[in-house]
Amino acid sequence: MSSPSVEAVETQAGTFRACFDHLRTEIGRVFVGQSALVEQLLVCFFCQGHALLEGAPGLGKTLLIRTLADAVSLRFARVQCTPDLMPADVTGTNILAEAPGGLREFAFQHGPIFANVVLADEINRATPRTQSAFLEAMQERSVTVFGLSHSIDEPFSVFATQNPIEMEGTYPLPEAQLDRFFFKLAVQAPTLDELAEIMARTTGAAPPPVTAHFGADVVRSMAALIREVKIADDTTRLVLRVIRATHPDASEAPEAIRKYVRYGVSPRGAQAIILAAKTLALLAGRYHASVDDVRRVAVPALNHRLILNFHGEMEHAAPVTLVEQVLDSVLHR
Amino acid sequence: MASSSSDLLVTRLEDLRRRATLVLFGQALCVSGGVSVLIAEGLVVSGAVHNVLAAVGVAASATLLTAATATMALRPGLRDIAASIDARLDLQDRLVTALQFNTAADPFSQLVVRDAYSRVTAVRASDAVPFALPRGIRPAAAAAAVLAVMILVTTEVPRWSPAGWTGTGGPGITAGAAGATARATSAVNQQVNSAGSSIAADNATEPSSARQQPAADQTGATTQSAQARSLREMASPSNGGADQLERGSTTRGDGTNTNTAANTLNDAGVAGGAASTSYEQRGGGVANAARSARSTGTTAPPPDDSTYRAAYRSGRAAAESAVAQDRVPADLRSYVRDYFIAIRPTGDK
Repeated sequence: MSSPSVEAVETQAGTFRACFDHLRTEIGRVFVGQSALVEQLLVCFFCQGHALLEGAPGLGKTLLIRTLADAVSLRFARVQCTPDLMPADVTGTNILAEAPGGLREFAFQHGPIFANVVLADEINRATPRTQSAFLEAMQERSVTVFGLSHSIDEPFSVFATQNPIEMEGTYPLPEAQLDRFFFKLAVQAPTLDELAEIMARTTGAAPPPVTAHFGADVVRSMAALIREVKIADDTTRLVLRVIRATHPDASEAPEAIRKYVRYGVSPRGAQAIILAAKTLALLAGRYHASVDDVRRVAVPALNHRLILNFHGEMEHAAPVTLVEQVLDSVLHR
Repeated sequence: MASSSSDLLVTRLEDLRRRATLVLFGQALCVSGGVSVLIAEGLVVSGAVHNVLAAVGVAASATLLTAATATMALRPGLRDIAASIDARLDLQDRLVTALQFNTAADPFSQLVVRDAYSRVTAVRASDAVPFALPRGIRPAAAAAAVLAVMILVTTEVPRWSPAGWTGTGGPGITAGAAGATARATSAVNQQVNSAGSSIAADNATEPSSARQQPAADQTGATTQSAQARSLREMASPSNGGADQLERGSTTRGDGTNTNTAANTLNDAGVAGGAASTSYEQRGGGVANAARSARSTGTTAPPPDDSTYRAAYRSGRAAAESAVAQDRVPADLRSYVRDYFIAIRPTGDK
């Protein structure tokens, strides 16, 4: 009786791996190297999360997101954030339109946030007011304009970029907004070989365009499939212990956390870890998430959720290092 | 199919749990056995316990009791054994997850159980649950084993021979004397026994007049005295010396020191061997040899006691070494010295 369902799940899992590999391959045709970054980005995408990409200018952050959108045949929108960007430029607004018959009425003009894949380029250059326009959309997946709520179609992911070295005239994202990002990913400088490959691709003949093999329906079904993956109670509790250990007042917090952290990770961090771990499990051909999966995704899921105290800021404590210390203290206990 | 996979998985885990319980019992036996042996050896060496066999029995009982109790208390559950095998064989938490979802009917749960079952049946039980001491205990176990061996090699161990138990333990033999003292005397005993047997036979073939004691040979009731006489110069000093030590005898000999020892043995023999059964058995064996030689009527060459002298010097050197290294309790040193003076061969310094 249950055999067809089992076989259907096996087929879906195979489709998931094929889609994932297709995206990875297509992105790899345009974006050189950084396989770990690409995998984490795709994990975030299939989990229907939002990612914050941080890196120096010219490393291909925008190209990466653009290629992803092209490879999945989804609606893509780019918002170049500047200090004069208004919230209505992001969410859309009501405009007075003339209806058939001569009547005039307000009609909602959808903003770029209603796309499936939204690139918020240099988001820290937008004013806090505009940044907050992303808040409701990212969390509630809806936008409220003039008292009327407009839902956003799924799949929906916001990929924001920010430049960590040009802080003049920027507005650092508030903690509440950082917490809404599923992953924070660091874009590293390419190696010499990767640079050579970039030169070869960008100074020669134009590469063939990226092809999209699937659309929004497949992405939605993949996201639903991920949530079906099992995770043992022990593994879940271990994730929660990791989260607890990021709080400086928790008994299991390592010394560095007590010294440098003001606030620990919210429950959203645990949700991100578990969903991402389930995705990695499916990729590995398993139907359950393991502790190793948790370890692999913990750093990108948590490193932006730690709020440092004065000592941490002064001594430039690295959140990535702090998260790794938490993992060592909890997973090896 | 799913339910059969689930049942088979639980059955397989039950098998592995039984093996893990046995392994745990073996580990507990090793650990508690080592501790018990150390404690027993310590009690014997310190003199708190005088009977080695009793100490061994108590140690074995304590070992079994402790191991059984520990096994019952620490017996792993199914979840524990699943987590242990997951970690040991790097199964990515397959067994723990499958055990949690083995009663669920959804496809994902069935796939998890099926995957786990296929993995756990592919591994050998010895790989999944090997017999090995826990890592934390290994250094302590190695140290205990080395310590036990060191104590064993430096302590007199009871040995069985047709003549009875020898050493610091065994039936009827007290372990009150220090091990080093007994070792020093037993070294002489063993060498002199062999030498004494042949010399006794030689002496026994001589006419009794040569020893100025004809009456003893003519009286059938004094067979034991004849045996003792035949041992007078040879066997009696070596064996009787140990008895003298136990009785605290301070017999000091000179040129006729063997007569003193022989008298002691005579007394013991006439009295029915109350002092030392094992001595009588050994002495009897030598006397029988003497009687056999006498009945043949052959004339033996003059006695050659060079073997006895060599054995005496070797034993005395061992005793002096033990005394010099403070391995003999101070209150027993005079006994050792007196003993070797008592059995000193004629003309030896």
